[in-house]
Amino acid sequence: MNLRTFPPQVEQLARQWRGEVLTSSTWTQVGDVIEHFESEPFFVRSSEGETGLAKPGTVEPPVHQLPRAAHEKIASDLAFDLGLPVPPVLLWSRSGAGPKQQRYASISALAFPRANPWAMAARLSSRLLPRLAAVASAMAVFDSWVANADRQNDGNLLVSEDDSVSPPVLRVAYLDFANSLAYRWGKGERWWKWEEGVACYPDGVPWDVRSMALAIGEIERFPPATLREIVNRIPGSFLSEQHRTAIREGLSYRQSRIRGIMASMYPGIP
Amino acid sequence: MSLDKVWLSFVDYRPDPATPEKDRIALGCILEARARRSGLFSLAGRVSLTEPELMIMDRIGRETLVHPADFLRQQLREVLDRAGGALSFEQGGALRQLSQVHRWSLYVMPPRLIRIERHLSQNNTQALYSATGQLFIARMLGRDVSLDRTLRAKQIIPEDWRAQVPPAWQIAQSSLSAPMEPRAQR
Repeated sequence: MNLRTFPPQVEQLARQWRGEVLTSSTWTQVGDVIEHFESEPFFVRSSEGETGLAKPGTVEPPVHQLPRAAHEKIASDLAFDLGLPVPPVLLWSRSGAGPKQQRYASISALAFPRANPWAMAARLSSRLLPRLAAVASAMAVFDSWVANADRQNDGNLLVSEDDSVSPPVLRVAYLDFANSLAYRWGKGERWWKWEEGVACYPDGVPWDVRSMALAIGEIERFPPATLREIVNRIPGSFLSEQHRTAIREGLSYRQSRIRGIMASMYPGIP
Repeated sequence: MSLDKVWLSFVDYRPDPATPEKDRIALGCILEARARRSGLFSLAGRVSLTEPELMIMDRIGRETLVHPADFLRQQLREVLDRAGGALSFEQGGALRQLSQVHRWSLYVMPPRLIRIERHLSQNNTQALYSATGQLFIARMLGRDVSLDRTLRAKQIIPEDWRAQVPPAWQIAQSSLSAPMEPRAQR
């Protein structure tokens, strides 16, 4: 399965970042913190010229309550291995963070230029929705696996119809996994065993049963050792042991249940 | 209507939001003022973009932003219709909502408070309208206007700046009003 349509240089970066956990580059904030977002994100640029969105910018809630940066990194690494369009992520230990700024942040690479949130692209939905069917169906499976509670948000899906390349490419990026994984699972076993799925996004997108079945199969076969590697390598300052255990257990449990979870929402899945 | 507290947002297009000044296109400027039980919105925007400007964008951007002034008016109308009078001016009103969605290549600046002083020959609505047009011209030309001082509605920019606007950058101005939450009790 490969539903990633990022430009080649971003894919190259993604391969590199998949092999790393913490950034060793120097990053500089560009512009102001994006106000009135819970996580207070902000754009950053590295000394090597890479660009990204850093978050959370705020210390609230503290990492031991909600490990948002760890969630972003784990989701990005899992999606990379599955061929799903989540931008590459590295963890960022901000040694110069002020008292109200989060020291344990993540940087999500900007997946492509000229990005439009779905809120803007939706006016072209008759043309775009059919072309999003395969990726939206696979992402619904992924969101259900990681229990992403924040998908219904027009700003968390970016699209760009890039006709500067031949043939033109519809570039797609699903963002924001801060409220996934331990967001609920940290409250105990019954939460990761709660077999609730996430619907295809954006609303009205046709359901592609083949793509959904393919994603289910890929997740069912996801190597347990790789899963452990992705979760275990997150430094303790970004992820408490209690949350780490919940994430490992939750992903493992739901891996075996993902077909049933999706079938309860989309009857007809083989 | 009071001009002591007016929210301002510029609207730009920037292909890479982490390099915001590179290939930036100024699309519009929106001011939001509080009348008795409603919000008044004054918009200035480019009537249309030039071919080289459109080529900076992807196909979605080209199709939706070809007439920026119309697009901004429509976006604002949608926010106001969705809110159905539940917007709070004190918290940035409709501009706050617009800026939360459009933070990528299309960028609606988080609203900031400014203060406008009307000329004796103007009423408040005329002053708001005049300030919107002048602030947008300054933005298009890439000139800074100090927003910390009180803006005198007839003299925000020097007269000759208008003449520096290329003919292709034609501006359309319009206004909208919408019901708003009652003022907070003091």
